[in-house]
Amino acid sequence: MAQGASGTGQGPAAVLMRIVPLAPATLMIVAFFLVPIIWAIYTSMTNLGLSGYAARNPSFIGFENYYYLFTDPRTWAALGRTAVFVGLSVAGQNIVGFCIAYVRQMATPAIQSLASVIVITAWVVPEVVAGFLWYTFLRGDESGMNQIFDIFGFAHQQWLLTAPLAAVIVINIWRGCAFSMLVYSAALQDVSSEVLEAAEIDGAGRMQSIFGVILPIIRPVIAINVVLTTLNTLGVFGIIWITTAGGPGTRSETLPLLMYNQAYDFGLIGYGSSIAVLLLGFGVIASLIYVRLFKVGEARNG
Amino acid sequence: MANLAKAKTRDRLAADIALTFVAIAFVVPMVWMVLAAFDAKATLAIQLPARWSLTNFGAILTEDVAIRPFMNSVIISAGTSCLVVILALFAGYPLSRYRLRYGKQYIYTIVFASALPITAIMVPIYVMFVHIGLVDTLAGVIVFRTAAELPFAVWLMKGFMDAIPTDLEEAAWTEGASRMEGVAYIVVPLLAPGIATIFILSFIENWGNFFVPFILLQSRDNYPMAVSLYSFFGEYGEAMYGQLAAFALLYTAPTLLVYFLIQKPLQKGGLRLGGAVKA
Repeated sequence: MAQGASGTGQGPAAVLMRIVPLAPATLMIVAFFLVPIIWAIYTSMTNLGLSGYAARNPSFIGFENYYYLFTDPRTWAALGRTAVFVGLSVAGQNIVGFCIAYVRQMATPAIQSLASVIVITAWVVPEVVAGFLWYTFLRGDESGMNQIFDIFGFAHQQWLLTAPLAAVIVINIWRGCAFSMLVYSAALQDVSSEVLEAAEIDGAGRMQSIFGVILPIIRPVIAINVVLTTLNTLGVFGIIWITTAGGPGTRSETLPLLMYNQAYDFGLIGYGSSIAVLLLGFGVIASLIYVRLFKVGEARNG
Repeated sequence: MANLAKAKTRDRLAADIALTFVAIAFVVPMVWMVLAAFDAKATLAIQLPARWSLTNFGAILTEDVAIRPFMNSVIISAGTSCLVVILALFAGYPLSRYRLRYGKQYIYTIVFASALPITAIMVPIYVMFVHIGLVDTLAGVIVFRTAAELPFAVWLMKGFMDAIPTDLEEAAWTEGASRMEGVAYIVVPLLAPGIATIFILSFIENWGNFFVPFILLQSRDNYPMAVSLYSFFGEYGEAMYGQLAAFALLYTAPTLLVYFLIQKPLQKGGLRLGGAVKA
């Protein structure tokens, strides 16, 4: 907009003057975003190590890292876990987030804001604190959860040991719900009440009005929120690292943890970079979908 | 009509019960931290302290345990947010005010970059920072965090600038003001709420970030609270639950404070993704 506001001429110098302010931000993004990505691709084709001989004299080994990566069952196991972790986290956050947003509209204002404050607090709490809270809540016989189980007479559970992947999924849903709740609250406010009343007059029940009217209307928001939550979940490291460290064994090891373990615990920076490239590949795919939805949204809004 | 009113009351009651249940389920894992922080004899169990005390806070409020990490977190978060705001301000202006030849492509590229998972580039960033000597420095963390926040911030800033009419600027130019003066005296003051939003979002994000300093920093003196809470946990976790809870509470407090200062618009309006907002 506002191209009419230009008081200067159209010569090359004028054009340059317009672009100059863009330079610092662009340089930062190129130097610390684009360059590392290219660097990662290069490093993934070397045997670079964290220390010792392979740290000082890395040699080019072509696709050898990728060969090991794709023939290692540990990679496939981590890929599978990442799919489960991301899939269930995203489904959980979106479904629970939508349900809270929907129910919230009908509740008494005081309870409405109390619930919002609590759900949002879970989202705002720093990652390390969230991981630490859940670690103490789930761990050991005297943990908070087992105290609650005592009240109901359930047997004690050690889910961090017996169901680590399920545990980190629950933690991640707990943490991410607020974002989806806020997104869907806004979307629901934009659904006109006339449409809903018309559906009611036509005799639509609650479920029919949700599935037949509301969800189709807010479908663009659902699409973009699902992609966003996917992108956010793909890179989750801290929560898992603090509560289970990927264990016991490798039972909750997702791609970011595999990458960290290979690069730093085993000192295989080159190999770790090949995992980084794999992870980045998924990020690029999801991100491209995001930009696509973004363009559609922008076109619609004019 | 009476039936309808009855149905409404019933809906409200059901909604209230459901939301109360949600609130309890979400709050339970957090209760322990608040109680344990004020209990010198805290264990893993959720229990009211036999005696409420500030002993735990007293114990951690030393230079080494909590104060230096707190200052490091402030330096990293404030430093990054300042840089992000300034660079985004410069970049947002031409994107908003001129019809640039590749303006649209530029926007799409930064939207794309803002969505990529940062986790994936930490290994190459580490290697790169070893080479240029930025590993284990606060400056290194600030530089990388700034680059990571910029794509989203530039896009947000452009949006905020688009909402400011150009007439006022044009009036200033006819009065003889230069473009820079126009920006400094007219655009920036009008942008204040937008600048504050970007600053706060960036501050909270950096305050809570764990992975970047965890990878880039090595000496204890440089740790921000996120990393020192983690290492404190690893070293003394079993023995000093109370102090750990106090530390976590101290670390969480500024985020909650900032957040609840700005929560009104979020609670009322929620987050609008219609124009594809990433929060």
